[in-house]
Amino acid sequence: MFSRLTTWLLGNTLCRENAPVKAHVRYKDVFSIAGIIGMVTLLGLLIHYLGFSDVSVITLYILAVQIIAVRVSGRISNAVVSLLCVAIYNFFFTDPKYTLLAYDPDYPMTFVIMFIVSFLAGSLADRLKRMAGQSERNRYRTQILYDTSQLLNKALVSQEAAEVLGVQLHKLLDRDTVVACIDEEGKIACRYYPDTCRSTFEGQADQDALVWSVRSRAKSGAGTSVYPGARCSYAPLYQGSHTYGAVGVLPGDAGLDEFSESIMSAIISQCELAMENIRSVKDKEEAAMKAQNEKLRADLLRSISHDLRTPLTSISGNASMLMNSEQTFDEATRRQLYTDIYDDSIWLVNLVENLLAISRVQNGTMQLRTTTEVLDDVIDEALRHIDRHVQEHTLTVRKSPDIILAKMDVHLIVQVIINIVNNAVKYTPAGSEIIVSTSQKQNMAYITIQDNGGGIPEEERPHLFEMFYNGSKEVADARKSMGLGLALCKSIVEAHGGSIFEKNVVPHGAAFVFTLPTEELPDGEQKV
Amino acid sequence: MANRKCNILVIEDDPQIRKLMATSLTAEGYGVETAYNGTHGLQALRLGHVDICLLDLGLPDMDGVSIISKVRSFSNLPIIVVSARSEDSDKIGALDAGADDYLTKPFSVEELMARIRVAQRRIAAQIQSGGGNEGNAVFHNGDLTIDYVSGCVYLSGKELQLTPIEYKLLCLLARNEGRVLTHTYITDHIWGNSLDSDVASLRVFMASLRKKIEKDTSHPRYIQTHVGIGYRMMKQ
Repeated sequence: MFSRLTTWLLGNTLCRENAPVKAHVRYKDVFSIAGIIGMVTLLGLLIHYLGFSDVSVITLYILAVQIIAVRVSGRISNAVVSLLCVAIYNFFFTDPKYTLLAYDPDYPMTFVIMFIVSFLAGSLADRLKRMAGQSERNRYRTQILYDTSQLLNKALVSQEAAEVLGVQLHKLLDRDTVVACIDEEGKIACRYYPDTCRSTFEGQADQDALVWSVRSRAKSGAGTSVYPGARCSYAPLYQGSHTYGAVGVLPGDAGLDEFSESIMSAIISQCELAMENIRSVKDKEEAAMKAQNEKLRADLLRSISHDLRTPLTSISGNASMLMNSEQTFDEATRRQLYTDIYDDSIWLVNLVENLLAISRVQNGTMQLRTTTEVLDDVIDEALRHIDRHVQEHTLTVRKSPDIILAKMDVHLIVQVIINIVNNAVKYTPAGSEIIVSTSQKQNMAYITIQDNGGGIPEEERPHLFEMFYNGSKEVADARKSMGLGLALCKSIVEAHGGSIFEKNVVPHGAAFVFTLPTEELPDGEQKV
Repeated sequence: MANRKCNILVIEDDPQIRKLMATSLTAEGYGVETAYNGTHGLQALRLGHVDICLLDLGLPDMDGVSIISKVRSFSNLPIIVVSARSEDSDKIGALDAGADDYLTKPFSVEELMARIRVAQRRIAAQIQSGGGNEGNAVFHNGDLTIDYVSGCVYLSGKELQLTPIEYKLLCLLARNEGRVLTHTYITDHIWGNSLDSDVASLRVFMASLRKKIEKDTSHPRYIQTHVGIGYRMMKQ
């Protein structure tokens, strides 16, 4: 019965050994064994001195073997410690004392029983400890699986999902891992976990196996029939008709146990599903975006083709009049015709500038080419390009005394200022005052364009920044605007992380204010 | 300069713009030659009787930057680049390759004439100082005087207190009077490298330098800002 129990215990111990146990003796273990046995022996000598029975001493030694078994794993060390305890007991507590001899004929039997009991007790303690370790590992793996699914849920692009896969697999298996993703151009991009293990996967066989796995959507590499010469094993990542990439793991000398493999494939399929979800969400968003862009483009085209006709008719008409019968007009009329041609072409230039800016509003996000600029310079630049009719108004610039720096796409911001100032010029009677001022409040630059014209009618205010809204007001030159300017200003300013709003001014007039996040002034000489 | 006509070469592939430039330049009394592509333009330039070159960046046969590098290998004549708004980076590339100035389409005729006059002043200054400002110990521009030997700057005879970097900036602009210097060019020469943060510093130094030498910073006399491109010292 004992032998069966022992085999069972030993057999189980062997089966549980996944990783090869390092055979060398560790000094730390030797010290703890010596310490525990020493303490027990001292305690035993005390009990013996006080005249109690030796049976309790034997029990103490069995306890010592158990404690040691918990601290130092291994069948051999357990047997050695059990034998050592028997020997020490013999040495200190049996007559003749301080020898390894025993007079009493009962002692050999006592020693044998003591050895067997302490060995079994030790084995049981060891096994309990291992089981605790095992369940700790199981808990850890479940945790990783749970974490993985949480992280995958949060991933918004498939690169993020791939990153999660790599990090989690590496955490779980503690092996060198590679995750290869197919990017938009169909190229394979690899990320390594840990970052330093690149060389593991650089062999020709490994690279071929990785590519083969991606192309043929099957496992390859070490432990399979395809590229068995590779150091690592590779598994494809795919779902439905779409292949996302592949995963490679270095199995190491001992290979992967069944449990790790099953968890690994669970993580991989989780990741595949996540990538599939991400892709279908993206497809849907793209389709919606496309539809919206199409609509915007159609509106724009309709509006442009309609509005371009007016100035073009005027330009070509005036020019043809001048060509055919220049002599019949008096000087003043001719001058007026030239002016009209010039004004209309400038109107077209401004329109084209706005359209250029709009063409950069792609996919709802602007592609900003930002540089750090001094606000005053930008305002000076913008004011150089405003409507000729500004001469009929009084334009004042009130700059902040401090240098204000802001990161911006300078052409777009110039366009914003031009649009607002041109509006002020267009919608206020000649002789009105226009004030452009700058100020800075808590990391925000404020640019205010204020006029003392008639202000904005209450019913138009909510629609000011809508695209293709052009109000009801009759403009001095009777040309309606396209209703692009302010809508464009709003999207430009918002893309810069600022905001735009308007307010009516007392006693009369309108003010447009937009903000831009400012930059810190760089440390430098100017403070000296 | 005064005793002969200033010859201007227009390299432009668009016939309408070429005609517009030629007509307006002739009307102003300049001698005009035209070329419709880079190869012809270079041939005309090699003959050596051109004083100023107007170069369109979007030519069919050659890249504008390579034309400029080729011209710079044999001539120091002022080159004014003409480009569309969308080619900002090309413009910077052209300036870094050695162009003096740029015009953005659509431009007005007055603007074109103003640029030509700036280039003419540059040529005049060069002839006066016998080939470049580099050899001079003292730089004069309007009320502004830089004494390179003592490292002092005077405005209307009054000495200005400049920090070392402001002084370096001013000297760099003065030595390249009439040329538009790109931000990268300036940061390369002042700091020896061009990080983004240096461009921000450059703005601040330039603003403080301006406060010291300009009477009205909204209408600067000496240092022009070219937003998104760089700066230029104007000849008074």
